[in-house]
Amino acid sequence: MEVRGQQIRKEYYRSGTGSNIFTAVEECDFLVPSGKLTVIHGRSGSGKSTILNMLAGILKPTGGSVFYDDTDLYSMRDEELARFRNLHIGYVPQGRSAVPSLNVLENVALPYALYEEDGEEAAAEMMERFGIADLSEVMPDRLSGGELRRMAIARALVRRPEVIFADEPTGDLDDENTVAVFGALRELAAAGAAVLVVTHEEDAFEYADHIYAMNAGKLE
Amino acid sequence: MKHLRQFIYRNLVRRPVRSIALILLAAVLSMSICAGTCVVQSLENGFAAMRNRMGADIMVVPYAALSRKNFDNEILLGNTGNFYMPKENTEKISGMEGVQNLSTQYYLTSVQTDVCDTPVHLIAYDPETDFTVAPWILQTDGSPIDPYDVVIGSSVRAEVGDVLTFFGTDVTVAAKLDRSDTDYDCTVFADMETILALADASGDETLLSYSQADDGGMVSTILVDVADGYDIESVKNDINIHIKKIRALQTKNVLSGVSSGMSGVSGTAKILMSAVWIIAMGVMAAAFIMMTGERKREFAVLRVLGASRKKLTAVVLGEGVTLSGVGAAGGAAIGLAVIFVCSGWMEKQLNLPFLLPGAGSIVLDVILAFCVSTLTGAAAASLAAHRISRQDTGTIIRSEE
Ligand SMILES: Nc1ncnc2c1ncn2[C@@H]1O[C@H](COP(=O)(O)OP(=O)(O)O)[C@@H](O)[C@H]1O
Ligand SMILES: [Mg+2]
Repeated sequence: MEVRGQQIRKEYYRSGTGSNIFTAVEECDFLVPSGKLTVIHGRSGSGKSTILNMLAGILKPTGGSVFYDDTDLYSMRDEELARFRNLHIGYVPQGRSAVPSLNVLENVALPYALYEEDGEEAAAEMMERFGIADLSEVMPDRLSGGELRRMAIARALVRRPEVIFADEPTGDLDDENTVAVFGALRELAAAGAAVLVVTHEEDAFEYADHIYAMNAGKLE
Repeated sequence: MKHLRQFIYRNLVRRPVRSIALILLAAVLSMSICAGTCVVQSLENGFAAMRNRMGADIMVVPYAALSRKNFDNEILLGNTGNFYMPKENTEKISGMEGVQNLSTQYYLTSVQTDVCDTPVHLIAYDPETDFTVAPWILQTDGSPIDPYDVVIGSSVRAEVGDVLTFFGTDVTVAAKLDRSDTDYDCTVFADMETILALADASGDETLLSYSQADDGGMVSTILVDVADGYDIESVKNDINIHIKKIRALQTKNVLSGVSSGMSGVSGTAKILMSAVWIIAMGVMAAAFIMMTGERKREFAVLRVLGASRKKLTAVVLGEGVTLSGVGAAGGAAIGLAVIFVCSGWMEKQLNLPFLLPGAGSIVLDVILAFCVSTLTGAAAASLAAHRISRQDTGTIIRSEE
């Protein structure tokens, strides 16, 4: 499945500025092809997360549309869109994203539990792959940054989605973990997934198929 | 973990202090509603029973009786009181328009005995015309009330067929009345012949003088039942205009003294219940709203993983309903226990007629208490649910922590 943003832009209302309108992402077309790892690079505040979230179906663009193959994402009702995200989109949020009341295994299986499905087996397999299998019963507040990040990635991938988004996935990780995370994302792309990573660091470049630069809301 | 239910449970267990506090709050609310409505209903029941047992629409008493300091209570509580008027009033009233039934009662005296905790009122009534006593007979041997037969109130310690002795004279219990929570419970009714015989046997000068002088020519109260289609008020006014030295009272108005005491107590109970309800609602709402702030990011993560707005609402409401439901059930049970254990004590303290409602009605109170507290929790949580399901996932998830 490939993701196409068509003439998408995002404006925020911001009082005090001239027109009271702040353009976080200027109008642009954007393609995330399947089987490739695409990277958007840019300074903090340049609009990377905004464009990623618009493409991922959690931030409605001010203008334009987002297509997953032939499906117009934002024309769906909330419930349809939620289920679509649940099945087809893996999203690794920036920063901490553990659900504190659940242990690691339950966190990873959560995309299944949200729809009353049993995801323990799939979760165990993903945890094995990311080297956190022995942490099943541990609560998230006992984990290191690297372990939490790997948990978030395992959770994003547990349903084997065709499209994967990662927002600064290595921002709080050491070199060893950074290599592991990009290695995994690279592998997913090689297996046919459409992968989009946004980052303000340059570590991702050596794994990327396409690199875009973002500067003050402008995609270059 | 495979169900949203389990997720809700984990969230509650993870914050034990908050959870227990909210459960307790729901319990207090449910308990106060359960016990409060029970008290209000008991008072209303007691009052209704009292009014029913008064039976008559109009009660006629000698004018002098009105100056009695405890008039309302005496009359109300079934104590006819030792005041008298000529029996000929009876004939005059019975001839008036709108009077359907009429019966008289004659108060002899009250005596301290070992069959009742309070003095027993000895009252003559007319079994032929009576319409206020007979409807409340609970047990009877079926035979008519003959001379030397008595009808006893529910608190008199004797059963149908037993023999009681007053002033050395034996009388037979022919019937026993249902509980009324009025002075009727400690009253012995008999026909005039029997009551006069007791007066003779007493040897008491005053009682003797009544019986000899009046020989049944006097009555204490005249009870009037107004025919359907007639206005009680105008029949009452008619009596007051045409007959001297008496006062006809509408029993409904006589009861107003007790009625105001009762509405005072039930009013207080209702205010207390509302206050507890408002506080519970406010605290619960505040607790849930605070939670939305703390858990913004957690809910944004759920949304990113594919939860619809509906599911987020289900989680928040589920947490609220679980807490308030558990508290409500416990509180209703405690409320029920309080009612059963304390009803006797409350009756004494309030000094008002107090009749616990029937089992069906109590069950309804418990259900009401449970539902109101649970729904209060749900309403408080729904504020939070609304905020959380509307929050902008993209903006929250974008920022680090
Ligand atoms: N909800 C919002 N309201 C107003 N401004 C916002 C909102 N979300 C993001 N912005 C602004 O949009 C710009 C781009 O933000 P973002 O996409 O998060 O940048 P990046 O991920 O590249 O650091 C920033 O200046 C940010 O302050
Ligand atoms: Mg960002």
